[in-house]
Amino acid sequence: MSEPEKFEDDLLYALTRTGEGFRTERADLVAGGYRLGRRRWRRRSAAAVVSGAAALALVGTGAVYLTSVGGKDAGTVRAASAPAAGAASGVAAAATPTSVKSAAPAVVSGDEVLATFRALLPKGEITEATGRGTDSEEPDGFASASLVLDDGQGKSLIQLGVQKDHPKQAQQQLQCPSDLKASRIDACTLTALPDGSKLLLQQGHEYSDSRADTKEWFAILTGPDGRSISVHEWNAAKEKGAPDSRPNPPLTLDQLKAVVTDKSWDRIVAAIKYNGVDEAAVDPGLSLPDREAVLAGLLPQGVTVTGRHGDPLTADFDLAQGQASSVLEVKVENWAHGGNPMGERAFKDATTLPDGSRILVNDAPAGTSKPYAVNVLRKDGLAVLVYQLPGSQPLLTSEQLKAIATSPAWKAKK
Amino acid sequence: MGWIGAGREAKDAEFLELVSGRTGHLYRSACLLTSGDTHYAEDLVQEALSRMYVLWRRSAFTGRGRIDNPAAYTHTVMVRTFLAQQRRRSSTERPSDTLPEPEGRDSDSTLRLTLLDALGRMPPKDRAVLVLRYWEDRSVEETAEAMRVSSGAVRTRTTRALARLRTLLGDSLAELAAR
Repeated sequence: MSEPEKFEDDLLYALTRTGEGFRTERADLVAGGYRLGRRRWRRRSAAAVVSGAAALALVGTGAVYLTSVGGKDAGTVRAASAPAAGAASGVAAAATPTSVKSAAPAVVSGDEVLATFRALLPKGEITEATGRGTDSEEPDGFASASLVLDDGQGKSLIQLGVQKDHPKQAQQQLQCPSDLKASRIDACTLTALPDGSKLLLQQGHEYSDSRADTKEWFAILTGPDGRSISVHEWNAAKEKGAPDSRPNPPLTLDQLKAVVTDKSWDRIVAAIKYNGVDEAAVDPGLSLPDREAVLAGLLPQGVTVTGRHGDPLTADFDLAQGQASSVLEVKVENWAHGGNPMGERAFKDATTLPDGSRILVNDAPAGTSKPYAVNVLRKDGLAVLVYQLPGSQPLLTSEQLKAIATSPAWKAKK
Repeated sequence: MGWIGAGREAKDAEFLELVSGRTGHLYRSACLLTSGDTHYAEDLVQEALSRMYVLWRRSAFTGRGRIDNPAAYTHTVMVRTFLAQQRRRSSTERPSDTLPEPEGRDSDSTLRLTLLDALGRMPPKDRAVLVLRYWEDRSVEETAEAMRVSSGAVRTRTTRALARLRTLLGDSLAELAAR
């Protein structure tokens, strides 16, 4: 064995002996990382996520859609909303679009969305056209269209997404990536328009690595009424790995801008329901200390609150009983003003209690005995979620969680 | 956590199960990266797990960017976090004075202290390359991927880091490792 090889061998041994000597309370680390992750997820879901590689919009409250959807098999991924942390305090957002004066249609069909889109595109042969309107089975939050255009220079996939978020709460904040080169983006500009809208124009590649050279160009417009309109185009007839059909996508940046800023979107935007929860409308007006006081009065004897973090709707309480500790998430929302239609749907399979409350108990994954979460929707519209975070020692039984969630001590102040 | 319907908690539990089996190893890697600063190592692990959670949540929602091996990827995330933080900390960095209490046989504790002290005197990138290559047993290509540098850069850095460590340790490693 040569000297360097001998050294490497000794180093391997020394690193192993040294590394293995470190011991820690693993569960604490996991629980800590998990809690931090959840907070980070809630925070970031309020921030911009504009993926150049994917025609994807991540909506502020945790619902996600792909703009490539169209028709029935929408490829839609939806998740019950987790409100953005801290976004709702003191926000008195008027949720009324100001730019739409004409009577808003109740529904817009997928065909109408598609027709509006086609009318704004250059002339050419159109195939594989689909549209998704507000009459879809998944009712909230967006409309979309997808088609392949051949303007004589080769086929190109073009996709549209229109959505509406509660302004100032969940609307994505557009920004260009900080490192264009690393993301293989040739150009990105963000412009404020005179009407208060923001426009992001980007020319890049579908993949940021060398997997394929397909170009993806797009425009995203966000308006003060909460609208977000995006158009993505490729120099290929399909996403993800189809051979390039032409040197560049067909629409120039000016043309993309003209499409997303067109007035004909107004009636479609007006028909789309706001995506996610209006946090100001569901805020029960309970401060963190308010909620801690209620919770403390409902905990079994010997269990105490040792810490709290949270926002106007959701709070994490650290609980302790002797040496054992765990985290309980408590979410209280007031749905009396119709602020959370998506949440209400989540209760459709709930059990009705004698007082008319609806209760939904989420059992733990197979193999474990303790349920993690209890949701209650009271007749007065107050919704309470009590969720014992996994990863820590569960201190509360199923019955204790139910007792907390169903307690009349939770009272909305607004 | 949203209102239930989609088994979000089951998803969370799935995440915890995925990462918890490897967290001990993750922590030990962090201790080596931080040359024995156990408090910093704990922060680093939690930071990596929290970033991983966000990535995992996002990919679970979109189905894009699926992470094939979350446990291994968490290591990568941690190394990247460490290197990014070191860039910010470098001007204020000081040698760690929080070496752990020796455990086990005496020769072992001397070995550990000697090695950690030497690691602490090395640039963070050197530490990272040694931890990835020798402790994590990653290939040059995997190390390059984790550190976001070229394979050539990993080879060069490994050679330099080994030479630097040999200079720092002299023959002490050979003696201590003679068992």
